Amino acid sequence: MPEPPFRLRGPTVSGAVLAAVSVALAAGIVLAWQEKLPATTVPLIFLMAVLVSAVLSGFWVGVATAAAAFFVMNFLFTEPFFTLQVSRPQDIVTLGVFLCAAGLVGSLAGSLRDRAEAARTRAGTLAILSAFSARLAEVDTRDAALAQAVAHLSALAGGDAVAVVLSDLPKPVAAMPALAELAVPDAQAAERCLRSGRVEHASAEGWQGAALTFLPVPDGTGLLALGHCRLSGADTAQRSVAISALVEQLALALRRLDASLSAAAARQDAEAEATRSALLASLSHDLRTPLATILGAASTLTELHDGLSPAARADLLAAISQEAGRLNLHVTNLLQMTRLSRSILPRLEWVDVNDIAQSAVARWQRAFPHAACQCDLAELPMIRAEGGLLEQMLFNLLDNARKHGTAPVTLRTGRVEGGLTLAVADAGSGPAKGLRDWLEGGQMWPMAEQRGLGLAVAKCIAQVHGGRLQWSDGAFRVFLPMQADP
Amino acid sequence: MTAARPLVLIVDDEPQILRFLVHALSASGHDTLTAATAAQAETQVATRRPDLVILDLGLPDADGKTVIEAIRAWSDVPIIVLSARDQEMEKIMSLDLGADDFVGKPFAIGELLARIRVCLRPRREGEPSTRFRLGPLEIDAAEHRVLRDREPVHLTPKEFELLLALAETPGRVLTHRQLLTRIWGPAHADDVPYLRVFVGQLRQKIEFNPGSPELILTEPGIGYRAFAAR
Repeated sequence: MPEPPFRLRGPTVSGAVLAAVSVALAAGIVLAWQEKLPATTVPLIFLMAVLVSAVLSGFWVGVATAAAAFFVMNFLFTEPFFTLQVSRPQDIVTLGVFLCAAGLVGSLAGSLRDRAEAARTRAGTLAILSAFSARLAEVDTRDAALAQAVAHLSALAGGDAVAVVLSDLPKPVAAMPALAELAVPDAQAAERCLRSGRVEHASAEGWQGAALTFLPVPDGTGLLALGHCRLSGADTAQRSVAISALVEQLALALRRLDASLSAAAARQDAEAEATRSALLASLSHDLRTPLATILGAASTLTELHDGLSPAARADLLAAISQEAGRLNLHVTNLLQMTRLSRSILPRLEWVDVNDIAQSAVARWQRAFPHAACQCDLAELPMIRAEGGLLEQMLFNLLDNARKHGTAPVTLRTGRVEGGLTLAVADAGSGPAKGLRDWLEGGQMWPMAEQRGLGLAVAKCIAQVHGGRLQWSDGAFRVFLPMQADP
Repeated sequence: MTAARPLVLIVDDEPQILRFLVHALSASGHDTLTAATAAQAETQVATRRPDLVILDLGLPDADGKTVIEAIRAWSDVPIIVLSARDQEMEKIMSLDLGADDFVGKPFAIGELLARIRVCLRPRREGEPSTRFRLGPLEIDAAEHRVLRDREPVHLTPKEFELLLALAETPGRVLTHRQLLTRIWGPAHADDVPYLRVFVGQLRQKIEFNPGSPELILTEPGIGYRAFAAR
C-alpha cells in the first residue's frame, strides 16, 4: 500500500471553541488571582492554555490559541490596560517572547498530536486490510469473497458498504448493513462507474446525488463494483488508499477463484469424456461382433454356395439368425437405456410378476437353447409396473448369470415388507467389488470395464419403478415397492 | 498330382466367428485349425505347422500382438490380422511386428479369401527375380528400367526404389514405416509427409489417372499396397 502524504488535521469548529475557552479560562484565572500572582507567571498560564489546546486539537488550533492568547494578554494585562497598545518597552519584549514561545509550543505539540493520530489510524487500516487478506485466502466461493469484502470495506469506510453486480440494472449482491435495492441516485452512480470503468464519487454532504462512492473491481468481468459511504475526518486520504488496496485484493482473489473453478470443471469434463469414450468402445464391440458374424456368414453363403455342404449351409444360416437375435438384444438395451436416461416414466399397469418372470425365462431359453433356469415362484399380489420393462430387466439378469456366472441359474420371487423381491442367483462367486459399488451408487451408465449394457438397464428399470437392484446373499436382488392403490 | 490343401489356423475368441470361418475356408479349399487363446495359438503353430495364421487381436489371455512376436521369433508363416475398423494404431503395430496383412471387422468373406491367396502365393525360389509386372508396367530391377505399354517411363532413383518395393509384394500392404525405413533409412522412419510426396510424384508418372490411382493403392493411415492381379 503506498503511503499517502502526511496531512495536518484541519481547523474545526470544536477546535475554535476549545481555543476560545482555554484562552478565556487562562484570562479568568489571572484576573481572579491577579493580586497574589507574581507578574512573571501570567505568560506561563497563557502558555499552558496554548499547550493544552494544541495537544487536544492539533497544530492549527495550537497556533490560533497562541495568537488569541497574545492579543488577550496585550489587551488585559499590559499597560495601558484595555487597549492593544503597549507603553512599557519591557512589556513589548515580554509579549514578543511570549508570542514566539506560544507559537512554537502550540505548533510543535499540535503537529505531534496529529502525527500520533495519523499513525494510529494507519495501524487501524492496516489491521483491517491484513484481516481481509487472511479471510480471502480461506474463501472458496465468489459470494463468500464478496461478503468478506463488504464487511471489511464497511470497517474501512466507517459506515455503509455494498457490492454491486450489473445485470440489467445494478443489483446489490452483498451489503453491510443488508440492502435489497439501491437508492436511485446510488444505482445511477454504480452504473456510471461500471460503464466508464472509473471511480464515481459520492456527492458532497448535504447535496443531492449519490450517498455512496463506487469503485469498479477489475476482476475480468467488468460487471462488479464496490460502494462505500462518504469518507470524513483527517485520515480520508489514508483510508481511500486502503480501500483501493482492498479492491485490488478482491479482484485478485476473484480471478484466482475463477481460475480454480474452471480448472475443476475442465478436469471433470475430461474425466466424463474418458468414461464416455470407453463406454462407446465397449458398446461398439458388442454391436460389431454379431455384425461381423452376420456379414461373414452371409457373404460365405453367397460367394461359396456351391462348395458348402447342406449341413454347413444350415449351420451358417443358424449362426446368422442367432447373431441377429444377439444384435437385436444389444439394440433393444441401447434404446431402453436411452429412453430411461431421459427419465421417461414407465407406463404403469397392474401386472403379475410371476407371469413376467415365466415369460422372461421362456424368452431367454428361446434365445439360448442350452441355458437352463430353475424357477421358485411364491404367491404374489399384483403390482403396478410396466410389464415389458420388468421382463427386460429379468432377461438381462438371467443373461448376465449365463455369461458371467456358473450354472445352475435360479430365479426366485417372494414377498417382503413393503414390496416384492426378485432374485437371480448362480453358483459363481458373484460380481467384482467395483461392480457391487456401482450397483449401490447413483451412476446410471455402466462403468467402462463392464461388458455391455445389460446390468445398467436392469438397474435403471428397477429405479424407475421406485425399487433398487443390489447384490446380496449370493444373488442379484431386485426390490419393487408395492404401489398404493390409484 | 494335386496340390495339398493349405492348412489355416484361425485364432479368435468369438465362437461364432470361428464357426463361419471354418465353413468358408473348408468350402474354398483349405484345411482349418482353431484356437481361442494366445497360448493355444502358439502351441498350434509349433506343433501343426500351419501354412497361414488368421489372428484376432482381442484375445482373452494376451494381446494378439504378443502372439505375432512369439511366432515371428522362429517362423515365417504368413499372418493375417483381424481387427476392428477404427484401430489404425493396432494395425500398424501388427504389420510392423511382422504380420503380413490385415482385414478389418466386419468383413465380407471375398476380401479375406483374396488376402489369403496373396499370402499363400508361392515364394520365389533360388535367384531372386529381377523382373516384375504391375498392371501395364514392366519393371526390370537389374537395369533400373520401367516400361509402360513398352514405352520407357523416367523415374528418379528414389521413385524407382519405392515402385520396386511395392511391386515385389503385389497385393500386400506395406506400412509407412516399412517403406520409409527401406528407402530412406531408419532415421526417416516417421517422415510420412515425405513419403506422401514421393507417392504422389510416382502416381503422376505411372498411373493413367493419378486422381484415382489403380496401381498404388492407399490404406488410409497405414500405408500403401500395389495392385494385385487376380
